[in-house]
Amino acid sequence: MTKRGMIQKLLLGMGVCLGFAACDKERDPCLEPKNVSVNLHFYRRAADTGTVFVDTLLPNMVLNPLDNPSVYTTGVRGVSRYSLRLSPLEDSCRWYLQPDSTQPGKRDTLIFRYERRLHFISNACGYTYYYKLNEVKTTGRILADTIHAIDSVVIANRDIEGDASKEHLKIYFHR
Amino acid sequence: MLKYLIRYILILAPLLYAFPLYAQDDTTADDPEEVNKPKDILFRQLPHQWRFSLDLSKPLSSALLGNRNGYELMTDYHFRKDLYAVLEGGWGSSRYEYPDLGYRSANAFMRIGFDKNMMQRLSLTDWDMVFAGLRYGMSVIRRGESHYTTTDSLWGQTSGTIGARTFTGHWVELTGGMNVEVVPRIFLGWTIRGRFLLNRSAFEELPPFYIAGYGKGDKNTIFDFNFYLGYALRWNKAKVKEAPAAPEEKASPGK
Repeated sequence: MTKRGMIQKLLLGMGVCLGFAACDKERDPCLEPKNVSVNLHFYRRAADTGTVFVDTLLPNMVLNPLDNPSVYTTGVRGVSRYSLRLSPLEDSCRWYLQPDSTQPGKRDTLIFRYERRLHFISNACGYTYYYKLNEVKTTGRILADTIHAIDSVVIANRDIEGDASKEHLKIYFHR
Repeated sequence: MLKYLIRYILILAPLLYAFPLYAQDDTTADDPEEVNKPKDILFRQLPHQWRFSLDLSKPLSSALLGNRNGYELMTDYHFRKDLYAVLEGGWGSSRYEYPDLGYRSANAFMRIGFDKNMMQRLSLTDWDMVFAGLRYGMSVIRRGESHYTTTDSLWGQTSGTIGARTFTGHWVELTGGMNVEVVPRIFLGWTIRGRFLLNRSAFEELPPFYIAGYGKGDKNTIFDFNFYLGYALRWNKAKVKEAPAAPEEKASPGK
């Protein structure tokens, strides 16, 4: 290869490298969710007696934090799965769940107790909290004089680490 | 990692092998004497060459991006046939300041390895090269105390600090590139590099976003490049008793 040819290749290579360099950014965009959620799955007994449970669709669900004025949902139609976020400020939080917004009397409180763990996502996304669920209680069995929708809750997976496919909490409703 | 390794090899191989094939078109490869000539005779004819190079690309990108700076030096010594022993080193620092995450870091690094010239030498004065090479790199990185803020639109913000930490990084590189002696003893060249982090687990907890000599600290494979300006020292041109009769005059019509 002649000297001229070599210099041409040298400049060509430098140009290609500069093209790659132009794509470099001061900060990469964050492409991951920054907050993790507890995935809820709603069930009801298939018959009045028996141990078979099936998915149930909540007709017009309202789900909001109890100790926080923020509104999370105002009425979601026909869902059998939903998710909520735990408070990163404390080791417990309370939510209320109303299966049907037209029946305000049927309203339950979910009380979550958990451990928080700071988790590094990436330089682009920063930090978030992962959680380990210790206990979930409902008010359904506590206040017997009120009509409740929830029969019981079962923790299916204690580790809340951002996996959207994992079911964390099974909520069983009265028929 | 194997997937990335194969990808880099596939990218580098056609680029680097195309150059010597092209270069051979200009030589007297059809000449049987030239073809049969032992290459070590030519090697013994050559003077020693020790080259020192300064990387121009990192100061340039530091000026453009603002939140990092890095400086790299390279030296190579022609020690055998088409092989060059390479030692590289440098230092750098970064400043990462965003509302949700902030820290400063600094590091020094070194890389050691070799380059193999893939191009046939056309004359005793031909030091141009198209090369492929391999490096082992290591760096000691100091990340200062970091401050973070998490934001949840429902619950609000939390914030805190993460203590300073020292990391040691190890990686290997596949390199490819070219060097051209634009005027006697002065070289310009570029090197592209595919890097593969060896100790990934050490970088899981808030690695610096920029590590001089490596690249983005939270990536396990990195593509990078350098532009070099170099100066070559040459000395002790050896006397060769059985030197062939001026093969280089025939071999370099275009140079």
